[in-house]
Amino acid sequence: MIAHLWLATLLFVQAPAYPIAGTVVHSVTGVPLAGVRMSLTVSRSQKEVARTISADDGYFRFASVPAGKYSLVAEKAGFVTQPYGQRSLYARYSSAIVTAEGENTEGIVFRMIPSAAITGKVTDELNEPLPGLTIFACLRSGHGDDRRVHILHRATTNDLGEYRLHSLAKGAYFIAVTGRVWQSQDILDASGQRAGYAPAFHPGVSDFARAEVVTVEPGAQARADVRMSLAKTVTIQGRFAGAIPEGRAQAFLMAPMGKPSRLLVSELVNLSGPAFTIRDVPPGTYELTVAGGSQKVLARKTVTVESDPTEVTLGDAPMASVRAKVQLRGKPSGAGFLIGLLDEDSRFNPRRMLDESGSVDFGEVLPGRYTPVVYSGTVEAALLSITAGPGVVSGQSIVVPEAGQVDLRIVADADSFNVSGKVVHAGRPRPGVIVVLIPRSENATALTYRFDQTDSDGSFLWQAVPPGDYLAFAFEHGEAADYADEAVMNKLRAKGRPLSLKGGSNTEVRLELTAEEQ
Amino acid sequence: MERASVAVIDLQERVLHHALTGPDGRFSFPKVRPLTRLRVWRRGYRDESQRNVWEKFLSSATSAEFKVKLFELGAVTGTVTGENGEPLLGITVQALSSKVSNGRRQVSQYAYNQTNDLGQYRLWHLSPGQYYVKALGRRSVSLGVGAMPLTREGELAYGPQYFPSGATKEEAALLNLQPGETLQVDFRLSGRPAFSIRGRLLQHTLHDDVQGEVRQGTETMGSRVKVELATGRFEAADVPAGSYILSARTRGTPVRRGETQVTVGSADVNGVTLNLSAGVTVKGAIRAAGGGRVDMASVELSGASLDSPPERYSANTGSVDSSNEFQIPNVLPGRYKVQLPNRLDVAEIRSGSIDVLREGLTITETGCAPLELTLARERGSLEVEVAGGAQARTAWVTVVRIVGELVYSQSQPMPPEGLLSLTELAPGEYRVFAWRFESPVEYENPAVLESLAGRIATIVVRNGETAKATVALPSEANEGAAR
Repeated sequence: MIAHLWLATLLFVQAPAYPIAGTVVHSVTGVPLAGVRMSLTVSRSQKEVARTISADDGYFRFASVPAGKYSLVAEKAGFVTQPYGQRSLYARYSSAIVTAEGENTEGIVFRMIPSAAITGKVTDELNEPLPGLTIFACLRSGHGDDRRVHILHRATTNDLGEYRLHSLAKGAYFIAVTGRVWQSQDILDASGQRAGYAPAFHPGVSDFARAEVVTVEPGAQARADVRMSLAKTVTIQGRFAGAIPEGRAQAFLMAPMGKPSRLLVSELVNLSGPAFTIRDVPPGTYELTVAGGSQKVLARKTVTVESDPTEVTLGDAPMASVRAKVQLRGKPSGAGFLIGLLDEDSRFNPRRMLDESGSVDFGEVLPGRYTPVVYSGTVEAALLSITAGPGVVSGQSIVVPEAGQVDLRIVADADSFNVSGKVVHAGRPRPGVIVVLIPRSENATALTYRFDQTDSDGSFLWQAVPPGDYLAFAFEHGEAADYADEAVMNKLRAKGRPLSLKGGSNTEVRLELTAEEQ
Repeated sequence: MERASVAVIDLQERVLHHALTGPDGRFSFPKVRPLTRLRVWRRGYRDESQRNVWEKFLSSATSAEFKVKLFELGAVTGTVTGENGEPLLGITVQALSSKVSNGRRQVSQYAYNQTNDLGQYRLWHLSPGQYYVKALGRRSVSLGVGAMPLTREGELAYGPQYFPSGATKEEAALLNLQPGETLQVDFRLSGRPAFSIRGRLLQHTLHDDVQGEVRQGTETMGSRVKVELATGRFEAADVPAGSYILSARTRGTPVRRGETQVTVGSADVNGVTLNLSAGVTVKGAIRAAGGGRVDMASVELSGASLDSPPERYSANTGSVDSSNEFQIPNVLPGRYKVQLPNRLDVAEIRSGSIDVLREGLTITETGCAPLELTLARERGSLEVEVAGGAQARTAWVTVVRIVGELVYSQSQPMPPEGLLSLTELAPGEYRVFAWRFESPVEYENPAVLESLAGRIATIVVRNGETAKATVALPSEANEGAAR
């Protein structure tokens, strides 16, 4: 009897469980991949619940997984570790696997994407190798004012001038090289003048607009050599007029190669007093920074280096002051809400509480690009618009100048809500579909666009959607659409499925696939 | 040598003359001003003193001929694969140079790099000399998946493995890298399931910049140690089963340091605490002959045994005040040698009843009894000549005194007149030898001293007398090999 009772208890508490199974294949060749370490983690917490290794025919199976939403991650030597459903390496979205009654999770095909590589040689004007240079693989994104260059990978040239940038996603890359930052020997040009190498781009140009892109496909390898040219260098005689906390500060130069990425072009010069000297700087326009302990930036200034010596004073004038006024739709006051400015490293710097009227004074803010975020607790308010003086707002971010007063006016919707949905085609849920929500009004900014990728059961989630009229899309293939490009968007609008979203506790939508051109 | 840069530079760093050498390597500058510097360099080369730039100060305007020797730097390259021949990405490969410095053979990291996606690495611009090559670490896996946990229990870690095999230097090959040579060094590694050690630092402040390390004996494991400065929590990842010393130290001064023993089985180890301690203050006084003042002196503590960890070997120094007393702060526990730098006239050192001069000083967590140093009342002198022609004029001379288990030394350059006179020596037996660039003799190692007896003069210095010694410079080849 006791035994029976024990068995009954076990049956009673045992939650229903489901299998997850499938095959891992090479995404380019379709060949099954053996020996892939597969890890299953809970989507929300990233807690690992099970692990297995794919068999010789690529088959893997987790026999019994409780109902839930999981990420499946594959890891194999020679591949970048990647989650299931990623459309390309480092893509922002992947697809979760949802286990529940009636969900088929036994026929998963995990297409492992091989990475690409770019190799090359960096040489000087005499065709001799240049060792110890930092080389960057960069991608460009955005349009118009919001155009940016992102550094994705870096490598260093060896004594043969060779480098290898690996683990790359497919893409059209710019290859950038910094000058000799760690050099310990003088470089003289043919006339005996002190010289150096200014930052350059493949194939050997200093102007970013003339840089050539290198396109790689998954699993492929491309070659990109860079020829550096020698330029007569000058000395910067600097003076930092501010206080040096704890007596420690350093000055350095960065090349503003399209924000937010910057390339270090000088050595780090320790400040023992207000005066400092940076030697061997190739002519150009740079950002000069003085930073204290823990790399806290004390002052930053754009300098054009031309004459020798170039004299610069920084820290003598106050930096730009930033005030913001946030209009929170759906809330009587700003109480309980915070506004933060996310800097280029995605850190809140600074962050303040809004007062009753929704106003905030940040005081002095370092020059640079920031993304404003308005939130309270775990709720992020949807930003509807940002306005400020000329030249400040740039796409979804603001650019704080070196001096002056910046007054931001932000309209946010605190009554935003999450919209969940499902993509169904021919009566079956479609996983791996990119779902896009854009406001119907053509004047809306990209701030209010929402994206997601559907999970194994076709489900998706758009977060922090303010009430309004929208167009929705479900692209099975169309990752290529550039949602920031007005021309692309105007063409797309005609295909959108109109949605009027008013909020409420359970906003759920069903979408059919959007017709796509090949 | 072709394509070497040659320049004459004034005191304001302005280039007055410059040239690129042709195939015969020759250069010539007429009418060079005095008070300038002649510099010669080439990328990928160093001069005999291991400097990137050969330099000579030109004090007078007379014509002169210079012969400059530059050595080409070398490289170590290879591939790191796993048990099944698969390339391992992100494994660290180190070149550890083995050279003699301050009378000890010291093995220290000279260069390191990480393998790429093909398992390849290259360590470059290595000075000619002796190296161990070691591979260690964990394959990079979490590239591109932001939300992936840093480590998972049982993840494979590799090494540390020396080339060609073995986990310690004793089993490894000491490679001799010739100028301009590229050595091929491949590794095949087997992974072992690795775990994390987690815990908290005690006595830690927000401002501490803490560096952690996992060691087995004197071998550093390839573990990544992360310290969360805000909370003092740490995690040492990639540790396979075994017994270890987990240590942490703050950067900057005063250094605070702690270590503890941790045994890892087949699971993560949690709840380890590490106490950071600033060490103790060692106090003492010096008694000079006739009770006089000891001018400009300082007292130095350094690790007493040949395998003292570097942080104990680096000197802890305290200066002697007007009443001949001194304090040496922040001394970590360990066994030390006590000396007055560049003086060989100490007759006795005591800490309580311990004969510190002969036995060394053991410092515990609670410190030690005050030190009493007595300078010799009786003194002798030593005159040293170096045989070896013109090169002898730029030689250095080292005088070594062995007292009990400990070795005390003093090194000085030869004066221009070619006779070095040392006057303040406690009576006793001294070993004397000459060298040119770096100290090539492991004089702290008694076994090595014995084996080099033929090159080293042994002289007895007596009270009130002047002993004389003539020593020969080692041939260039010998010195290079000893380095």
